[in-house]
Amino acid sequence: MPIEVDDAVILSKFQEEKTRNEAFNLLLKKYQQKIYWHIRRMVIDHDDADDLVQDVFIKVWKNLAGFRNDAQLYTWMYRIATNECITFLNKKKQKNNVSLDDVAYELADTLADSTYFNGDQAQRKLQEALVTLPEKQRLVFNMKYYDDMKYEEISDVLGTSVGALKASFHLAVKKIEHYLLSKD
Amino acid sequence: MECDMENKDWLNDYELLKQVSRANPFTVPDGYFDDLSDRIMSLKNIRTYRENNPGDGFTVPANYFEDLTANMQSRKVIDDAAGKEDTGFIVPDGYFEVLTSNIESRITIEEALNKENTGFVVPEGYFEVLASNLQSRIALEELKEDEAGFSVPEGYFDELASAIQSRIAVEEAIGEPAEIFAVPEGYFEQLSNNILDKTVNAEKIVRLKPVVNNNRGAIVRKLFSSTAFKYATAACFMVAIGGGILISQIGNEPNDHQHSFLHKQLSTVPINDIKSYLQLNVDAGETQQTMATQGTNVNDQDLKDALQSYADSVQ
Repeated sequence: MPIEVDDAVILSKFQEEKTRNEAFNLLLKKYQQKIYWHIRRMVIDHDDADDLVQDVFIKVWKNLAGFRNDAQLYTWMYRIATNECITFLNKKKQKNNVSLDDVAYELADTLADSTYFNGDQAQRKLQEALVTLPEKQRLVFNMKYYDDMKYEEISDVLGTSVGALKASFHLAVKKIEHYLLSKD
Repeated sequence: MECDMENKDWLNDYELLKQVSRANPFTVPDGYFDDLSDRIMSLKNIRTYRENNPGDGFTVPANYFEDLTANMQSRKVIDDAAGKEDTGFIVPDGYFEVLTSNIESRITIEEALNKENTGFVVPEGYFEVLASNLQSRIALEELKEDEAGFSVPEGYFDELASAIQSRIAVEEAIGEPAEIFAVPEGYFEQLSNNILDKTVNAEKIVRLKPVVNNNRGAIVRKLFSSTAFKYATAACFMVAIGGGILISQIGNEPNDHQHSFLHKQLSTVPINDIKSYLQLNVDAGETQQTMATQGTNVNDQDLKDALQSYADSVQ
């Protein structure tokens, strides 16, 4: 059960060197699952997500002292997590010298072979549809569909306008429905 | 509210998507989130320490990396030079080609030598004397081949040992009877003296006629001019020797003169004549020895006394 501690408290504790570790620990317990699932939906594989989660929080540790309260703490961390996911997928694409479509196929294979997936057939097909989407459309959809984030929050995370995000989300849903209907 | 509607109503616009459950289909390993924070904290601490302590504690000598390239190049040059064929050391032609077989042969020989008992044995000390035996044999062979030297029949030396052993056995068998007869120690050395004592020097042998007032003149028979008498004298001596041997066998009984014809004849012979005859005619090689050769100091008085005593015994 995530510990619900006010971000201000965490930030104030983090500012003190004596309580920095305590603050960071509190931060971890509050946001670790959110960050994890955000990453997991993007990279599909649990082990990949695990590595990325740790990298994200290391970066949070390093940069939290310079965090300016011009945004929500978790949106700031979401941004870091999102950037790490995109970097990971780009590296995968460059490593295998494959196109975006090939990456999608690889994610689909990972999804099919994944041990840690117990969704029904509809959910599996939804995920299969999602991996066919461009990374940013997937991000928007995931944050909207699974995290119930507002477009403004998603805009803070992705640095894209709300209108563009809405359009992107609408396109994503259409593609998903088309995929679901084609696979029936 | 509008935001809530935005977050929840938008889905009404997508009937098909609305049919899909919004529950999270992904799962994690059991207890994953329980230790995730601890693992992240540990990783954070490690990363922080590494950033604050960039080195690993190991150091290198000053200018190590600056000189490393030059050192490696020098090392390469040295290794190349060491790999050259002409190093000043040479081996005989074909040495390495036969080295393997030589080593294998040596191993085989040493294994054979190290075996405890192969069934072949040699006499004790055989190898120690083998060299000298071979040298002796070679010397003998060389002598055999030498035309100016002595030669022996073929196979002579091979049969020599057995021939010697056979001869020894025969000699031993033949020689045993000779030991049945024995004479006292020093018998033959005293024999001549004994004979002289019993014959020439005896009292009855010579009958001395008075020399003084012998106007008639003695009849002197010059026996020395008689050849028969010479032979008779020699025969008498031989008989006397044989008689002495027989007497010794009986028991060393003293021989008794039996006044034989010889004694009677010699009784008329002057002693001086007998002495002269013995000195002139007795061979030095004969067993009987003259009184002179015997080394005994003899003077005329002793001889006269001996002859006189012999003559008295004859009378």
